[in-house]
Amino acid sequence: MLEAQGLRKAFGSLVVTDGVDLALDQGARHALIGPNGAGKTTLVNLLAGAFAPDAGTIRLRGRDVTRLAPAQRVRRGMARTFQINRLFEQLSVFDNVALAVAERCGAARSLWRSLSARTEIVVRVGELLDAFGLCDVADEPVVQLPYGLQRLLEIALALAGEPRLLLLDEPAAGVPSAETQRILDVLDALDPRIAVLIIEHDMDLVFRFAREITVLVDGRVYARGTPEEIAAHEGVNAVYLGAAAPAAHG
Amino acid sequence: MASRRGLSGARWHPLEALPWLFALAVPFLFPGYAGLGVQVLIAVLFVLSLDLVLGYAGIVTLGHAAFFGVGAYTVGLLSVRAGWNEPISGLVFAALAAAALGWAVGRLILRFHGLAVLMLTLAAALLLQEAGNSAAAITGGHDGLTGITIAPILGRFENDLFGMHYYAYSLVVVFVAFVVLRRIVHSPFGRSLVGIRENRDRMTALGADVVGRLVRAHTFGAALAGVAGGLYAQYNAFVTLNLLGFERSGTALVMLVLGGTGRLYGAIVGVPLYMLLEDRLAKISPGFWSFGIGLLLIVVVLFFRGGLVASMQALVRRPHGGGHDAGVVEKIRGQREPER
Repeated sequence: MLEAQGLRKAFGSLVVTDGVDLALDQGARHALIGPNGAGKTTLVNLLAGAFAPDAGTIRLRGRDVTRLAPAQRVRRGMARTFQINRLFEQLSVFDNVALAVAERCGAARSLWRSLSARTEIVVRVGELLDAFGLCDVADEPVVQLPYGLQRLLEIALALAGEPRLLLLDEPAAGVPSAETQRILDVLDALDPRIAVLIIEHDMDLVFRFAREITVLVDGRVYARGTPEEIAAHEGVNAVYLGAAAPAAHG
Repeated sequence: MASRRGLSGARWHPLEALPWLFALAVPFLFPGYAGLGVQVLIAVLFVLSLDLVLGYAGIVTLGHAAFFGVGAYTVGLLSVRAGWNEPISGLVFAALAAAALGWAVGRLILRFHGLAVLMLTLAAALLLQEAGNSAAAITGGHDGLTGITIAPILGRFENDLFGMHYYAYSLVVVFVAFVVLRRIVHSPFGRSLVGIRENRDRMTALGADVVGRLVRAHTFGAALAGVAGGLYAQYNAFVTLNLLGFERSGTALVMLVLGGTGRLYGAIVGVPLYMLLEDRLAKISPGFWSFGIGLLLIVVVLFFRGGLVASMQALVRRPHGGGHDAGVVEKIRGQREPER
């Protein structure tokens, strides 16, 4: 599904991603953890195409996408969420999802029939809102939603594109603990065929969700293995205590 | 809140008939003012085209008058240099010429964001104006292009002294353009423009070809501006390079902000209001009419956020709301009626 080899990215003299390899198969549940400034978000930005790598290749479903723009990668089945919400804040929840669905089904270039008259889009939006428990707030402007629901919507927009590969950048960040359960439920209910890469600081969530974990420190892969192997790894605890890794750029 | 129901929904709201009925009644209510009415309608069309580009797609432009000017010169040059006088096909040519230029300029500048786009639109319009001046042998330069003759509309209706024929003709053109624009802004394409305006990064993350969409919107906007310019040339039978100027672009922006951006009816309210005020204030104090306009602009920007149409919409939805700040009214409504 996804193969990244030898990814390297430097901002000036600061090497943020340093020779990272990463491979995700169909249905993968892969977590990316590491201290602040380890280069996790930069890695996601490289995979999604927001940054061009200085070296290395990225293959998506067998094809080299290293030079493709973000939108082109999306059309090849890659979707992402952002660490800080990027939503259409002044629009309603319904309209947010409708824009995403319209992009997916190729209707978004169409000029004539109104969006609300396209039954197939409206039905699909309804299904997504239902799956995410957002029906009650469908007509609310996003800016008025509680933060936890905004995070859910962030995931809903990514899933509206029916991706094969989903990159989740701290989906539960900033969500009060009373509301994280809804995000966990959504993650658990993800289509098992979708390959998922998740960045997360909440270790309960990581160990519950992931089947493979990569620990990133100073832009390099420090350790990789099953949750059990990582839990038993001596160095990882030290990293999280801050003994081994001075924080770099985040 | 362009997405909300009511006046801005995809279905026609009964209140939307009001401005058009009023426009139909104007020549009968104010018989001497059909000529001014034509100028208002031309400005409405031009500001509507700006609303698509700026209000919906969020392209901040100060050079939109360039396309108005290109439309005007297309009609003028066709008549003076090629002897083509038929008005309706003249408007089609004006639209095509302006669209071609709008596409080319859009391709060049819409890869950039924010202030860069603002400066580049301004520069493009200035360059075009200068090009028109240096080609004075064809365009007439700063003296303008004279001797434009236009055949009767549909072969029957001359440009009569009272402007009645041209008023009817302009109203039909503006209405047709409005219906097309209205469909565009409610189409998936139009909604995606709003998405780009609201959050460009998110639209990219959804897989949208953001630059391509913006170029398309800019091309449509330019085409409609070209039609407005074409009408201007047909009615006034005289065009100058001032039509392409910064002042016209800026005035259109003020008219649009007064009425409200991103809602089409902002142009329909803002333009007549501006032109009426200009007329009245100039009679009271010829030197200071722009002071009054400036004052009104400040009041609208500070207290009627989203423009006058947004405030009217808020009042229509909640007759007892009574507040001046549309944002507050929206918030209260949101809290009281979560089921909407």
